Amino acid sequence: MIEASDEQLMQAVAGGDLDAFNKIVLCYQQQTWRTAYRLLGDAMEAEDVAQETFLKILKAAPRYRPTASFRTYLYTIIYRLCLDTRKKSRPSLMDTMPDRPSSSPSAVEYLVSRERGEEIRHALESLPLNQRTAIILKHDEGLSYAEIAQVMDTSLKSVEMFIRRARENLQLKLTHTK
Amino acid sequence: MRCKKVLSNLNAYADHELSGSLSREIEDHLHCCRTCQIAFEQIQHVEGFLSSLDVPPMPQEFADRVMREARKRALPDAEKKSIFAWDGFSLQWFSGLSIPVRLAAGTTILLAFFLGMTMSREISLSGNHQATASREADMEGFEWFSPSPPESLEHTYMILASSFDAGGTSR
Repeated sequence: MIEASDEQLMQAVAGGDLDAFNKIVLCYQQQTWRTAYRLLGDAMEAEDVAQETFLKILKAAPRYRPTASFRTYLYTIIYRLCLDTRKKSRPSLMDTMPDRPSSSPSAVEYLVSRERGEEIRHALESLPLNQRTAIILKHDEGLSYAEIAQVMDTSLKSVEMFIRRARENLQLKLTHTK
Repeated sequence: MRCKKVLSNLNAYADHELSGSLSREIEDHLHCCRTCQIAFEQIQHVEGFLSSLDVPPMPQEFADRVMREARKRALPDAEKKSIFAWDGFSLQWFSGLSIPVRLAAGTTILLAFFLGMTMSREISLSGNHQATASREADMEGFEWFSPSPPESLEHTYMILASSFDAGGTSR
């Protein structure tokens, strides 16, 4: 059986099909949560934003027109909700969600890698939201510069500049804390 | 290619965002320029930092919570729709139309409404004219039978007629 495309699923959602909506949630929940968490640095806020993202998709389904890819549409909603959340609450510190060791290293190695992970997360959190968004959408989500420009409603040149500055700032912060 | 141009394009090069020819030029330059090579290694270094970040685990039963909330919110919407539905016929077809068709339909409905309003006003005005005319006729009739001046011919006629009538009744 051929899997329905995101656009077909959205058409079904527009007609009130909650099963189609459930498929969208299951398919995109991981990346929605991950992006919201990376942008906000707070698990509870990220969960709220992730949930609200899907509910906005449900509400806007009758007006949805597949002019861009569904992924770009999804990230645009996440980004805007994160902007709103940041405007409402002052930037919070990263929570202390423990890192999962990738391959069972020794306790000392795990502590060192965890400490390093914290440093990187703090460095990432200290970036302005536009730089953080651009670098995360590029690095974690694999969006092209053009797609990032669409999500952030900005030009290609600006995206390029955000990514360059984000890397320069991260390099500076992480080399100093070494 | 000059270092300045290479450095300004280095991030796009690292992200595979450049055209084939420009990308090859930068690649060639990196083979022979140590300064630009170091700058490129720094970009890769930062990418390495980012890759080392673990993905936080998903909150448990996240999808279930979203679906519960979705069902809650979908229900009032269905109720709202029923206001515009008669015997299973819903106005949902209207939202499926394209914008120009919707505009045309809307204009037609408005025109029909105003036409109806104008016609009903005309009918009501002509009804008023008829009422006024019949009232005027009544007034004329009333004046015909109203008391006339004592020396007038009508007065004399009315006296004669009433006396004949009184005589006829007494017979």
